[in-house]
Parts: sequence; structure tokens; C-alpha cells
Amino acid sequence: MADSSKKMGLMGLTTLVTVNMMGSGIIMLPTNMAQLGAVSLLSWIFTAIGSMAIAYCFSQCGVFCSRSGGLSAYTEEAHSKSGFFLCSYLYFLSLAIANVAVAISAVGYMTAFVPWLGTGAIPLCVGTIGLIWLTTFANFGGPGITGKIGAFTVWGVIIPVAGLSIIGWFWFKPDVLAAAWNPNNLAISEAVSKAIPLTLWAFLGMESAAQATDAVEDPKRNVPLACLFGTLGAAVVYVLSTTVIQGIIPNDELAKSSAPFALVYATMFSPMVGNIVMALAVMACVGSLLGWQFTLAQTAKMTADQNLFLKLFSKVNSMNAPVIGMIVCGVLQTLMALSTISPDAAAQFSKLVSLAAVTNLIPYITALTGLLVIMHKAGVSSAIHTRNVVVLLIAVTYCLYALYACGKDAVMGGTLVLAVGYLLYGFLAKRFTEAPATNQARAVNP
Amino acid sequence: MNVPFATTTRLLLALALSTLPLMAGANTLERVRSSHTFTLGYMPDLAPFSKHEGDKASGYAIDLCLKIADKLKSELGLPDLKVRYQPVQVSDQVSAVSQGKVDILCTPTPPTLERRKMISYSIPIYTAGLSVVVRKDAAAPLLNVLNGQVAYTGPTWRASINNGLANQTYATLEGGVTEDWIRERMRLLNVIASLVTVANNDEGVKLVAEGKADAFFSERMLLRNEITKEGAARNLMVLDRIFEYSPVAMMVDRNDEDFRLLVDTALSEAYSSGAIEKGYDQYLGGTDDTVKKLFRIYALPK
Repeated sequence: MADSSKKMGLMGLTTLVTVNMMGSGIIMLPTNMAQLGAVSLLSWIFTAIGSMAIAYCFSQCGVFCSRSGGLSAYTEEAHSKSGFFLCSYLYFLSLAIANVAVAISAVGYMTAFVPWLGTGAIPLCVGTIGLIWLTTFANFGGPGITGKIGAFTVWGVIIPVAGLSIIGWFWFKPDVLAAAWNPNNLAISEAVSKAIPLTLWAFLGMESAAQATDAVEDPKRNVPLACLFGTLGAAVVYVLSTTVIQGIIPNDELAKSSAPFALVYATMFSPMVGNIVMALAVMACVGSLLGWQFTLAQTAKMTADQNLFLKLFSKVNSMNAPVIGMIVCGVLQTLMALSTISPDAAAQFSKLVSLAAVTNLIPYITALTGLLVIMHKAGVSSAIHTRNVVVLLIAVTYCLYALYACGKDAVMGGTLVLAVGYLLYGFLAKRFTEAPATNQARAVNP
Repeated sequence: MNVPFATTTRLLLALALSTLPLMAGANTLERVRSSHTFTLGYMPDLAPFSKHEGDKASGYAIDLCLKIADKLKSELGLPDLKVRYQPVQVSDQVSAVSQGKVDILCTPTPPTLERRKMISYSIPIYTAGLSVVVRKDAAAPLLNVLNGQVAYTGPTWRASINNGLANQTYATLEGGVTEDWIRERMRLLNVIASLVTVANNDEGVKLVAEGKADAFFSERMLLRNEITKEGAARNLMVLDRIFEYSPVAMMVDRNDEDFRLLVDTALSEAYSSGAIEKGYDQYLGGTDDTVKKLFRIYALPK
């Protein structure tokens, strides 16, 4: 429908993936890791390998199956229509909730510049709703514009975080890192097992390339590449930046910093530079919210295209943006943000955010397992098949562990939501089983 | 600011001063006998242990000191012994005892080796517990951490609501034993926090009530007392958790073992007679199994 100039290129898509993954999660990561000590860096070995396995499998799915639908389409290959619906439904809920949470965090970072936002629940809520709508409207311009804005805001991550991974080494002191190695004197195995939860979910978001299939130029080539490059880029930047920062800032200071990247730049240059970095981080955070709101709307659109969500989600404007669906999502999220004004509801909302990680991970597993059928249909050679199955098993194991580690409350909530999904699909299923129903009716009543 | 130097000076000064009465040959029992007066030192604003009341004092520790006074009357054969109440400031609690300005410091304090260089202690009369006061609307992660649970359960991912904002401020009494304790443990408490010190409990509780600090660490009974004093309207609560226990006792002169023996005898009798338990019921919100076990440990057998 839309011509290719309104679509996203490889660069735009790769940055979308990277920003989506790192956007808001990286800002506090060095502090959390420093509390355990530099020994926590070892956890990257597990989480980076596991995450790369997932990204590799997703990109293999993309190579052999370039149809629209992202995770849900891969899922359908193995788990048919109900799998498609459940995957979309869980993933949609996950993003709708998570994006509100990202907005809340972004407003939190903004309080450094606009102190009013930090003065209570109502200013926080006003800021959150403001951001949700700002990022919703910014997506009205269609995928091309979203990609361009993303390509700009990504510098908010690249300059401070990726920049630190490169120039930080000039300030790096091995003895500072050595002193920070294990300040709590934990056993190495214990320290690593405590650190894994810090980085285990840091790679959630790598699927956003696949979710955007509809809005990408040459998806068969660009989606797999963006998924791989985006994840790899994020992994490199994550590991380098969290390593170098622990060799610049003494552990004591880093462990209690509420803005570690601003702190490290203030130490290397001046407090002024620290503030600029903080502003850039806020920009990146908002940029990632923009990307996620885009992904949310795309997921709804692709599902509605399959006649599984309300049709209004699939209506696009002249710029190829599903505007009505975006507005519906915005209204839904505004209601969630409003509910956080009450302290009790705010506590409930944080449970919802944990649940959202579960409903993000289940679609990973359903989509990854789709690869087996996708390869079968594509008739891949047995060498590729064997290689992919090995990687697939690593990826699924990682997902299962990440799911398990979400904790029983989150998993229970996620399971209930999943069960409700089956009820919803029950109402939709007849749309795909009309033919046999007519035959039967004829047989009974000729 | 040369702290070690200041400490040494203070220590030397205290030592010099404390040896003065020694040279004069002053001795608590002698002093009581000759003056017919038993001078109770107390801190005037440490309810429910001791508090100023007219020209007298009242509280859990004061009641116990009166038991000691009774013991003195019978042991020394001084039925007309007068009891005098002498308020003592925190800063000169040690010197008041070592210089003989008071015969005993009723308000219990934790014995430390440093203090024991200048004064001596009775058997413990109470087990202080380091606890914490927070606002009732305190953030859930802070409450979790203070209650000894993990700050956040559930996954840490991009959507985890950021806590960088929630930079907590802890407050504690300046120079108290707790200050070092908190500094040591803050990083393991896993919430990003900074520590401020305050001069007294009043000030600490006020900081929390006004939102300038998020948690104030101090002794549990004193905190409870502050809260009831200020009224529930201030929206504060003391958590049940006790971080550290520390037995506290009455300060007595270092050079009068006979007097100390008399004090410990009176206190051990108060333990075995149930007078201490009564005092707990009256002033300290009752006893429990742990507290009763400690009674048996603290009291010396005959």
C-alpha cells in the first residue's frame, strides 16, 4: 500500500531494536551491578549467550518465513491460529503495560530538570499521561517518521553509553575495578547467581524488528539482520559500558548513585557534562517509548489484519500509521496511568509490570518453537537444521529459566491472563472453522 | 577537622578529670553515707526510661533506681536516706558519674570498652533494639528492605519502574553506635540511600515526618514513645523488626566495687521478684518469651 519511502530501512530498524532494548533499562544497571561488585559482570557470559541464541533463532525465523505478523506469525507455523491469537494477545498486553511503566520511569528521570514532576502522585501521573500522548502523536507520521525520530534519539544512548564504552578506557584504572571486584565477599557462584537476574531480562525487546515487518523495506533481508545486529550491538555496549564504568568510579560511590552515567561523565569531565548526559538519557528513554508505542500499534494492526483483533486496529492513514488503534491504546494506557494515583493501585501496577514480563516471554517460546516447522516447510539442509535445533534448545532453555525467575506471583498472574486468552479465542475460533460447520449442517438438515 | 586528635584530647581531659575525685578518695558508698543523700542521675527526655517530672523524675529506670535506694537504706542502715534527682545531659553522662556528681546514672546506656575505661556498669536492665521509624506511605521497596525482604520481587527489565528517583535518606543519631552500623550495612540493604545524622530522637522523627528523611533508626522504645507523643496524626510507624540487640545498663563509678555489688544485688532481686517484669508491663509494653529468657541471663544467681 504505502510506498517504500514511508518504510523503515535497515539502519532505522537496527537502531529501533537497540533503543528498544536499552532505552530505559540501562540507566540504572551500573548501580545495581555495583552493589554486587564487578564480579556481577560474569553474569553477562550467560545472559549474552542465551540472548544471542534467541536473537539468532528469531532471525532464522525471519529468513525462512517473511510473512507479516512477527512473533505471532512464527507461532502460527507450529501452533496454528489459536497460537497466533494468544501470542498477539499476550504480547499486546505486555507492551501496553510495560510502555506505561517506561513512561513513569522517564518522568522519574525528568524530575532532575523539572522538579515539580517529583512532588507527588498527581504530577507524576500528569507527566506520564503527557508522555504517552506525546509518543502516540509522534507516531502518527508513520513508520518512516518514527524511524527518523528513533535515529535521532538513539544518540541519547550512543553518546553516553556507547561513547563511554570507547572513550571511558582513557580514564579506566584496573585497580579501581579490582577493588570493586567482590566488595561483599560472596562466593563467586553466589555472586553470579545473584547478578543473573540483573541482566537476565535486559535483552527483552529484540523481537521488535520482527514486529515491525509490515513497516520495513525488504523485510526478508532487513528483519533478520536488524534482530541480530541490534542484539549484538546492545550486548557489546551493555558489557563494555558496565565494565568500564566500574573501573572509573570507585565501587562505594557507584553503588549508591541514582544516575550512574551522569556521575561517570561528571567525574571524567565536569558536572555540567553530567547534566547533559542525564538529559540525553531522558531523550533516549522517550525515544524508546516512541519505539515501543510504535511496536504496540504494529502488533495490534497485524493481528487485526488476521481478523483476530478489532478491525479498527488495522486502519492506517495516508502515512501508513494505524492512527485509530494508536488512539485506543493511548486511552487504555491513560486509564492505567490514572489508576497509579492511588498508592494501593500503584503497588498493584508494579505487580502488573512483573506480569507483563511473563506475557512477553511466553510468546518468545511459542515463536521460537515455530522455527521447527518453518525449517521443515522451507526444506533446509540437515546441517542447518541440526545447527538451528541446537541453538533453539539453548534459546528455549534460556526463556524457560527467565520465565521461572520471574517469580511465582508473576507467573501465576501470567497464567491466569493466558487462560482468559483461551476464552477470548473461543469466541473467535468459528471464524476459521466455517467450512466443516456448513458441511455438518447440510448432513443433518439436507 | 582532626577527629582522632579531638577524641584523644577529650579522652585525656576526661581521664584527668575522672582521676581528681579518685585522689580525693571519694567513693560512692562513703559519699552516700556521709551526705545521707543518694543522687540519681538521669536523662530528662528519655521516656519511658526516665523523664523529668517537676523536681523529680519518673520512668522504668527511675523505678529500678528507687529499688537500689531501698537496698541502700537497709544495707547501710540509713532509713532517712534522701533521694535527689539530678538531670544529666548526653554529653556529660560519663563525666557526671566518674566525677561523682551523681552516684548512679539510672538511664540505661550501652556499655562500650571505651566507656569502661572511665566508668563501670551494672548488670543489664533492658535490651535495647535498633529499630526504624518510617512514614506510613513509605515506598514498598523501602519497607521490603527494612523488613529484611528483597527490595523488588519479580523480574528486572526495561519496564521495571525506576527506583533511581527513590533515593532514600536514612537518619540516625550522631555518633551513636548505630551510625557505624548503618554505614556498614547500607550497601547490603540494597536501596540507594544516603545517611544524615541528627542530634536527638525528636529531630530524627521530625525529619521523617516532614519527608526530609525516609527512615530514622533508633531505639525501638524511644521511637514508639516519640510517635505516641507526636500523635498518630503525623502518620508515622515503627517497624517491628529489630536490627540489632544491645543490652543496656546503669553507669556506676569505676572504683567502687562494693557499691556496684549492691546495685547488682538489688537489680538481680528485682529480676527474681518480678519487679522488672512489672516495670516492663507498666512502661515498656509488656514482655515476651525472648525478653523473659534474657531476664534469666541478666540476673546473677545468689
